[in-house]
Amino acid sequence: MTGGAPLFAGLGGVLLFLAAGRGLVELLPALRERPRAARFAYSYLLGVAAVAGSTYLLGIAFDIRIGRGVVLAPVVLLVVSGLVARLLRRRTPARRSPTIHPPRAGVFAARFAFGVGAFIALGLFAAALTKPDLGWDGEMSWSAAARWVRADRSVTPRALADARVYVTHPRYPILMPLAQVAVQETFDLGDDRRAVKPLYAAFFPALLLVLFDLARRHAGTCAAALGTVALAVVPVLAFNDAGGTDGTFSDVPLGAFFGAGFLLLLGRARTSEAVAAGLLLGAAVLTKNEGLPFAVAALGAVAFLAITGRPAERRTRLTALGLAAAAVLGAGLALRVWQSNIPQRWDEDYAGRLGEVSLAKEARVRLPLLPGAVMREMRSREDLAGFPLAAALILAAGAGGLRRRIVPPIVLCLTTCFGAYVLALLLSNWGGVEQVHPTWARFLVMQLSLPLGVLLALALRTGWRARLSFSRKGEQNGVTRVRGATEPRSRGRRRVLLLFLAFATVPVLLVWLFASYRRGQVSAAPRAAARTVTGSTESPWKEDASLTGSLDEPAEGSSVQGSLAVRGWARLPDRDLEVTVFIDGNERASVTHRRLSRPDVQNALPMLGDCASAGYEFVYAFSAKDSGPHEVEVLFRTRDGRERHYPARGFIWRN
Amino acid sequence: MRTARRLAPVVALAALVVFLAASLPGAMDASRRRIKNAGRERTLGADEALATLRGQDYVAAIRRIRDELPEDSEYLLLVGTQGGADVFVRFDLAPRRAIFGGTAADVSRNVTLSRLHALPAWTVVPRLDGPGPRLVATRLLAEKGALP
Repeated sequence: MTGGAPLFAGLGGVLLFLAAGRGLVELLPALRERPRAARFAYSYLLGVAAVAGSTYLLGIAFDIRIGRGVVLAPVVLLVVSGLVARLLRRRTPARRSPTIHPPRAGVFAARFAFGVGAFIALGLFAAALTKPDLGWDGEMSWSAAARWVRADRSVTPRALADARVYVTHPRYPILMPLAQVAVQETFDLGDDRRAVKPLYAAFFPALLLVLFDLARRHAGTCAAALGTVALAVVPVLAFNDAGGTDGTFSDVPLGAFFGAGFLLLLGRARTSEAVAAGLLLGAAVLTKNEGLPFAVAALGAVAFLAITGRPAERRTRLTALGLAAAAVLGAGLALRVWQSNIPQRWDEDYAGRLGEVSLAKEARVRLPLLPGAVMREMRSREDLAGFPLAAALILAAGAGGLRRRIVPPIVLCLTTCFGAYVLALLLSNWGGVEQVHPTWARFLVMQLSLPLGVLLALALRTGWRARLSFSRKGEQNGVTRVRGATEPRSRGRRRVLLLFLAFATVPVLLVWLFASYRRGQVSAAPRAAARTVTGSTESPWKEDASLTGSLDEPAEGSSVQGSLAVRGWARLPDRDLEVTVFIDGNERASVTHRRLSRPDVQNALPMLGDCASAGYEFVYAFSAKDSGPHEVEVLFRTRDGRERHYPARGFIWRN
Repeated sequence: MRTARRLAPVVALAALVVFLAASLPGAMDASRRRIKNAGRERTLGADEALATLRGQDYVAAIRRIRDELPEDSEYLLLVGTQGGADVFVRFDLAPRRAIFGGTAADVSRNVTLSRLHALPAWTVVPRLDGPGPRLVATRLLAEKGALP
């Protein structure tokens, strides 16, 4: 396949889902009345959900042979239905969406957010169409499943159904792999990896547009735009090939389906919104294993709102909840039936371990390590770039804006999702809390991005209003007034008590996160230096002198000219150790970092096993201010919470 | 206290401004670089693009194995010594089905003449560097008891 083919197929695939979803949106008045950009976003999400979801369900129920006809049938059906509905509607007066008159600042903020989001999305599409990297999980699970499904033309291909075949995570739900198959079948693609990547890249603008639309309902145009742009620039969401939309992971699709479905149910609960929410939550269930607990958390939170909300709305909300719950139940049952045909192997198998492990014992061992592990992830500049600290500050300082009736259900839902995350961690067959490293940023920023984004927008809303009161005291606030976005006040003691309970966990968590983050930021360097002397800190990592490794270069008292190469090895008998290098107590960006083969170590210490990547090498560039004496220290770490500080070395660095 | 209450919302806005000031240039630059690179790599074919990721030798080796093994076949896959080698090779050879063969050190135990009838005819030894993955007749492995 030449360079132009993935461009044609990739963008064609996006248009395929947009067309199907657009037809569906025409049938759903609540979405049809949304602004044009939001309609596109909902169309895309619903298009993927409908086309891939219908293929999945038909495959499970009737074992149909997946081909171009099966893929295109729902597309044609939805497009034609949408056109017919549109033609019929022309005879009746159109119902208009709520009139929105954003202030000039709101228009500017929205254009700014749109510009930033569009430029990042452009870069994302450019990379998707030219870079073949699918990310680790993309190659291990998601895209591999798509190839097996396409080859056997079945949702239960032999590779998954045959217990002898080496498949990692064979029971992962395959909605997104089926979306890949839909693109490949429609455009008759070979094995060009790039052709399916735009399918994932399109989730980035869709997610941002949905966030802007849903946040605007509750927080106004300015705050919604600011919240959206804040999320858009978090690196892990766009350009991270370990979960972001620059690969073929299912985390962002899950976040988009789950978040949009949940937040639509918190709106005015019109029947068409509930149908869309049900479809999206059902798609979330079929996208990742986390989808089912997340969807249940969303339904629970909506039930909470229905019970504690205005009595006049209760019936409507419960009806909407019933519709969405039916879709989630159907998707959950279908997934269970599909999974029962697939032998479990090469998987964490959380459900299987539920009755086997003692949760109390696991909690005693693992939970004390969790805050430290989470804080390390939160501090990752590469993935989160300070977003957790900024978000914690915004939410704490803008707490006044969180006195809204949609906030308690959002907090309740997020708390339940976090509970599911912790439960999975306790059941995991990974050691200690090592699973936090590959999953935390994906959980927080990708899967929970929409509810978090709405909270951010609400908190920013108070800031925006305060800005006006400071500069133009007494003038009307600049927040867009939207139908249904009036500020309700707490009514009665019961409401106050429920609000307090719902909020009780989150502020404590935020204050703790903030304090820990600050502590980590401020004292990281001195701590690293102090460790070399005392060897003991308040770190949750346990010092373990039995961790084998070495710092070979630079030698003690040596003189280094130009680039500094720090070399050595670190390995236990069953695995390599993680290595961090500190220069004068500080972690510094290296020019290159790689693991090396160390056959000499293997010969000397055969019990360490294969030392193909036991060695390490960090290379640092010299700058003018580096001239003079320095100290280098290396830190070896295991994934189960142990570490060893290798004695520091002094050296002279010169140009 | 009252002033603090009034100032708090502005702090929220200030936190956002600081975050955007720190993160926005990086995000825009990352996007700009991708657009620029895409312009350079837009004409690459599927194999050429994959070669930018894994190298020419790897792509050539995968092509050779694909030509040898029909799509609807099984092969024995050894676990690579380099992290991810078996995962990446398994994907590039899909939809061919991989049967787990353990590590190269386990060959003498897993691949024996008595078990040969139950094993696929071919074994793939995954490698990301050098000459890339190798295709070896499983019978040869069973006879030698180690990688030739």
